[in-house]
Amino acid sequence: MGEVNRRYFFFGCFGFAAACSRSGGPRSPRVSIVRAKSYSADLEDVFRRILVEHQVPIRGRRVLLKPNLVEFSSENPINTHPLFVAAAAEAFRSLGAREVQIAEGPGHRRMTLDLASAAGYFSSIAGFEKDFTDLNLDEVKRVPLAHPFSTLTELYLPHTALACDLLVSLPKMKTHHWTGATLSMKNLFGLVPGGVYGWPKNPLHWAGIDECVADLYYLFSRQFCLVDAIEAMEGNGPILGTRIRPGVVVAGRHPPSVDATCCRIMGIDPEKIKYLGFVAKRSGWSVNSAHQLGECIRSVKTRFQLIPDLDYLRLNDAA
Amino acid sequence: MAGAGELQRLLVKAQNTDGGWGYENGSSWTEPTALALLALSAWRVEGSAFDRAGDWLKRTQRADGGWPPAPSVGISTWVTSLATLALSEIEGADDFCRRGIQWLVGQIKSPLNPIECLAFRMRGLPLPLQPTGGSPFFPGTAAWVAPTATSILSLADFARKADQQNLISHIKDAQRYLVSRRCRDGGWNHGGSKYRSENAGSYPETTGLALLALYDLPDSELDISLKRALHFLQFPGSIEGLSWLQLGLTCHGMDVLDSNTDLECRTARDVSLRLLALAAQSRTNKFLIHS
Repeated sequence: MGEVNRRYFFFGCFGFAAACSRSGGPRSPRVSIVRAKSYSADLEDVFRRILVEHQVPIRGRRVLLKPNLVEFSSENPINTHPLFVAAAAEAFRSLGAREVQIAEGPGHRRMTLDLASAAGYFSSIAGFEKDFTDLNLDEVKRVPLAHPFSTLTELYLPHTALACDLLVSLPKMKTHHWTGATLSMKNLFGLVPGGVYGWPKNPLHWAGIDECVADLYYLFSRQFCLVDAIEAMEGNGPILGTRIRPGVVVAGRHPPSVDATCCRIMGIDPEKIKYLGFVAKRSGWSVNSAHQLGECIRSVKTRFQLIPDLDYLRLNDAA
Repeated sequence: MAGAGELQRLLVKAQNTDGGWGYENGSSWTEPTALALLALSAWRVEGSAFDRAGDWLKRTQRADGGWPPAPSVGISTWVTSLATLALSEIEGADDFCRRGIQWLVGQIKSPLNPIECLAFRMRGLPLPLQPTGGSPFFPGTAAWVAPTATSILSLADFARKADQQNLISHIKDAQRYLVSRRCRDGGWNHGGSKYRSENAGSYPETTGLALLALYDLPDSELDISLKRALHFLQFPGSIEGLSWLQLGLTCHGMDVLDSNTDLECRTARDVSLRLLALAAQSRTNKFLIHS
């Protein structure tokens, strides 16, 4: 087993054990749903409470925040909101992180810093340029995939992502016209370097989008997820959709459970999301197993519009 | 914004000791090195920096004739088009270029084979109706606007210099592919399928690059695209966008004098693109030197 594999095996076991010890069993990872009506809420405090409640190991760690940065826009709900990212950075710093970096590798556009500037990241996040790494252009290392779902046998991945102690996925809650929903697991596509795979990262599409989402989850299973669902995107996401306001933050240590919870909030049946199905099949995890903290799903459920082709993903309202 | 002289100094200073350039401050990668060599050539900054860049590109060509994105990556990709274009500036690099061109021709998308058709059907996707002839970023995957455009530039340059008329049909096919991927607004984005994205908008950078690769199409066929590019020029969003727009519009005879802008060169690649765009306005469009 290579160095990277051993490392991920270790952290994977650690994460799994930690999740089990705190939820009473391996099949009930905890997921928080917290109301936040707008980005002017005290999000730093919200995040700090969540992180404490989930007993996330932060002190002395190198934390990497991975927002979803896609397009030149500060108006449309395409990117993770800059105030959401700023609050997350401050929350992790205040809880003793040794280092908080922000990194992203957008899938279509190459000028990542200009994109971040247009999205409001420079003006909203103190020291953004100093703390930011463009994962598309980072140094890379070859990582073999031991038991891939996809047809890939290896991936070149950025040093910055491989070297962090804790990866924090900060996705925008959006519909996705291929996978149904793009949430914390799909957000990991941004870790794959465009400098090697191109813009878009088309080898991931050819190897199976859902399969690659699952592969990336197993490569980076030591994660914490904070989903920006204060404002979200419905319809023809992840770029051409329209704004919807669920007004919540969804968080947890187990990305599949976080994503399954998000799906239910969106009115999407998580059983029908293929990448969640891959994880369920391999690990025995169930999409119904999350132990909810905070708000109940029913109270925050916001029926997202889906494109007609994806109407079959609709969650039965009685569910 | 810095002038050409300052940008040249910045570029030479950013060269790594191995002769290549990184995107930012890291190890050398093929794309920024190839663009830097082209930029130095455009401004006739020859000598040690130029020679060492050429040597770096010669050293990093792979046995299959292509170039990897960086020496640490074990596969040739689309950056081969830029490496070949850059090495054509170097005396005595003909064989490197010839092998690079062979690799590029081998990547051009032909009609889908039965296995690829099956893969589309199994995913519930419609078979693509657009012309073939485009080039991928990564071997064995779909064609996209940027690698197709840089492939056209490289093939056209080699065809002219080496009198390789057999490449013309590939260039024409690739240009037809680009036209087929034009957005409704007249510009180009990355070139995704219109399936579920029929209203997707174009980008400044790919619009400029596509116009550059469609250098010999009559303006009457590009009217809507030229208008879109001129509109983008007012808000290009990035040095990359501004530079490709200027390069593309210049090659269609448009007057695109440099405007004051707050845009920053953020990488060595940006510095090179800026220098190439400035050269296109005042000296020569390096991508079309022999047209």
